[in-house]
Amino acid sequence: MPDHPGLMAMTKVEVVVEGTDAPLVEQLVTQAGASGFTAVSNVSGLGHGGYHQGRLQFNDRNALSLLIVVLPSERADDLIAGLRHLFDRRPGVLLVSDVWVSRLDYFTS
Amino acid sequence: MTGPSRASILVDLDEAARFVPPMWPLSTFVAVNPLWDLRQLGFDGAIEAAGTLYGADLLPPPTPTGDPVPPGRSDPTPDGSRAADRASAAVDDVLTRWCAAFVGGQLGGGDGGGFYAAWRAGIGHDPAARRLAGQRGRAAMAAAPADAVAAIAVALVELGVGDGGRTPAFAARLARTPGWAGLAKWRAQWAPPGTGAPRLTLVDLMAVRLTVEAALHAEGFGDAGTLPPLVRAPGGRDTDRELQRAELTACEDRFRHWLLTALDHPSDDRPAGPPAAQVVFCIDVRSEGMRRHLEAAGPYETLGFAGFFGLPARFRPLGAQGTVDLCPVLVRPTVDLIEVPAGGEEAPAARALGALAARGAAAAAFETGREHPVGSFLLAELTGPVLGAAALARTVAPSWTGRLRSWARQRFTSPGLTEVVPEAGDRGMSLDEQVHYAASALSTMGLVRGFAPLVVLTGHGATSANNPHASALDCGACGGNRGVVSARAAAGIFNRDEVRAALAAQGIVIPPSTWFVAGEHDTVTDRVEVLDRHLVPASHLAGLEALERAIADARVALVAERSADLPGAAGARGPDGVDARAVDWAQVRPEWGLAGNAAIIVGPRRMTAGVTLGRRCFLHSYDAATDPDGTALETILTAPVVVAHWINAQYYFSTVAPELFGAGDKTVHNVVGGIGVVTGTGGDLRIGLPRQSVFDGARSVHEPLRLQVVVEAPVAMVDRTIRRNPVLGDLFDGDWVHLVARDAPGSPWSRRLPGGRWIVWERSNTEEVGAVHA
Repeated sequence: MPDHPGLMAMTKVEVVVEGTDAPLVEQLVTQAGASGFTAVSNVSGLGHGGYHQGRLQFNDRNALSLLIVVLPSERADDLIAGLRHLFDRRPGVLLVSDVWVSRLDYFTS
Repeated sequence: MTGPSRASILVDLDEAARFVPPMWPLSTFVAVNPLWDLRQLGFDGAIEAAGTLYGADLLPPPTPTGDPVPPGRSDPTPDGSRAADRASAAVDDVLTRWCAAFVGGQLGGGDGGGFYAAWRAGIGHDPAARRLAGQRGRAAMAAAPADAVAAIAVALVELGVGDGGRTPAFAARLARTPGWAGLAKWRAQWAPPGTGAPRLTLVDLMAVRLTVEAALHAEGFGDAGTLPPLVRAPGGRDTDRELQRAELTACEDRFRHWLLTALDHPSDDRPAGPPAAQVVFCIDVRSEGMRRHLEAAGPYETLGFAGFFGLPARFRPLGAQGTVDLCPVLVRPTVDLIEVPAGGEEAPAARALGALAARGAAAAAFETGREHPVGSFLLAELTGPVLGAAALARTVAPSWTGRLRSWARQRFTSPGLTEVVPEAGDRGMSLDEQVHYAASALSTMGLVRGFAPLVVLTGHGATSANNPHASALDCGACGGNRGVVSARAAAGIFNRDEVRAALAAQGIVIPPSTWFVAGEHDTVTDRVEVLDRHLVPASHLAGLEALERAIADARVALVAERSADLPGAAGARGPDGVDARAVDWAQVRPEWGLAGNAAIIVGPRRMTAGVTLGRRCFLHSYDAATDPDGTALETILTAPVVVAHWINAQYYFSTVAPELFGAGDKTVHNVVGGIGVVTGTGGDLRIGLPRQSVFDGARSVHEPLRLQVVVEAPVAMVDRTIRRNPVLGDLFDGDWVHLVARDAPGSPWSRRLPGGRWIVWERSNTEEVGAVHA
């Protein structure tokens, strides 16, 4: 892992799920001890299941959501295991990467 | 055996909850397909899976109507598990009592700690727990971990449930009390942020249940791993179910044949010139009758659009502290509306607010006195004679007392003239947003030219008395509320000069001579009331009065039509009869609601004008000629069609499994915590529609059919829309709904089969036309 002086290494987890599964993922993130997350609803794009529309005019439920969380690596394992368990049954995309943050207290409180 | 991870418990519990229908509280009771979260299994797969879990037959009985024995949950419990079933029933009993106590505020939990925390805090002294599990068992419950997920993990180890068994174990337990589980699911997945509903979550519910079971198991009650009996086979043989499937399909074929044949011969005798008024009703099936009779009564054109008129609003009534969401549950409210006194009407508004505050204080004092152990006796002595006389009057003369109450309300608490407007500032609607919503509504219903001098936006609601399920009769597109607010707000937006100027820049020219008016259709009485009359220019009053006369004629005709099927309405008391039903607190069936719903038709009015559809069809106006890129079609298919399917599925399952997915007999309902109803003195919360909504005695009045979707639009565009929206693929490929479409009037109908293949629908391919329709 490269070193970035003055920055702290963390794990970033990005998840794309159906909008109806977003509350569960938020619950998993909270249970993992993350101090926060970013949620983007109504995301669009092309995946192996075909093209997914973004926002529908009068239906906020049947679109995809993107959730991004950054947390200390030692807290990420249970979250990642839970998400993998989820994706054994439901559609979704899980991306895990190393990141560096400048304000440690934002992510560990 | 090591305990499972927290994350895996949460995932498995969520997976198990797919079998549970979300249950909205009574105040916003909306229709939902109880198996919506199993939709990816397809209709057959979902009813098989749910039927196995619940031990229920989810197909119509072999004879579609008139079965003297109402269908319902079967009793296939094998002999060997009867003891375990008794133990599970005992757990069900205490669990549901604790749930009821919690939502009623008698279990504590006022600190926001939730159901499990409140239960655990008091369980060490709970006599029911001791009766169930003995002194030591109760102590074991009290010693469970403070954290609910940790308690589940501990209990699973005690009960010997391993990784592979967690989801079925959770599902079986949730299926014991689908009502309380459904309320918890609603709270987790559907409740608005910051809801004040009691914090009863799926995790809490499971933690209490498993902790009790683990204590029983540790004390030697029940067999290891058999609490409760997990999987039950649905009643009936496979050959019976094949027959039932075939009969369901045949009924649907007959209905499709009848409907498409009727649509081949619309009798559009509306005047060729511009209409005197355009009246927009909700797509609700109950609008169909009023639209048909109104068009027959005068030179009027009617349209259908979702009753929230495209405004995803959160509304604060005049003087109210709280808000109410007025939009379909698929949509999150994004605009705030408020009610304000009209100019010069501040004084009556202030008087009305004072009267309402006094009434609220009196009601609160009455409730406090009623709940006080000593005060309740004094209260009964003081108020008994008055309230008793009032109760007697409401019973023997409901119409008279209804008029009196209406007069008193008008006299003492009417705020005078008000308006519904967007909240000022960021929480309201910018001009651009107002233009966006206005343009979207008009283009989606195809009303972009040919505006009449009057355009009436007609919301709907249902007046009934002593009816916990009242909101089930109100407008689903308004979140189970009356639609009047949305209509008033939308009319105001359409009348703004700035909005019209911006619309004109987009090619939608509303002439200065056109005025938008709000109205409300009461589906119990079939009265259509024009609202905010003070805003109507004098130049339009004569036209409005003529329209009101036509509406009155239409009402008489529609009430006569409806009364023929309404129990107790025979004898043709006409409008007086339905007025009496609306205020009769002994009336268990104010109207038939949406019973009989079977199709949604998406297309211009000329497709259906003059056709008697028997109040069985949702009608959504749409004109493919004004929708070249299919945006409006996509909106309609992904929202109103989905909502129509939910309503259709709720009526279907409330009919085929009334004991499981229906709420049972209204006459023995008791309201719990203002949230739901139970049958008699306790038990599970009842989900779905009351028996009186779909049955007349033992006779099923609602014919359980899957929704038929009928679209007039280029078939290729329909197909593209389905392919790019997974939810539509689930519905159409999963056989939850049926779809036919045609490119244009006179084109052949094409039927889409699951998998995406289209075939030409031919009359000769169908069964004979049955006498299943009005």
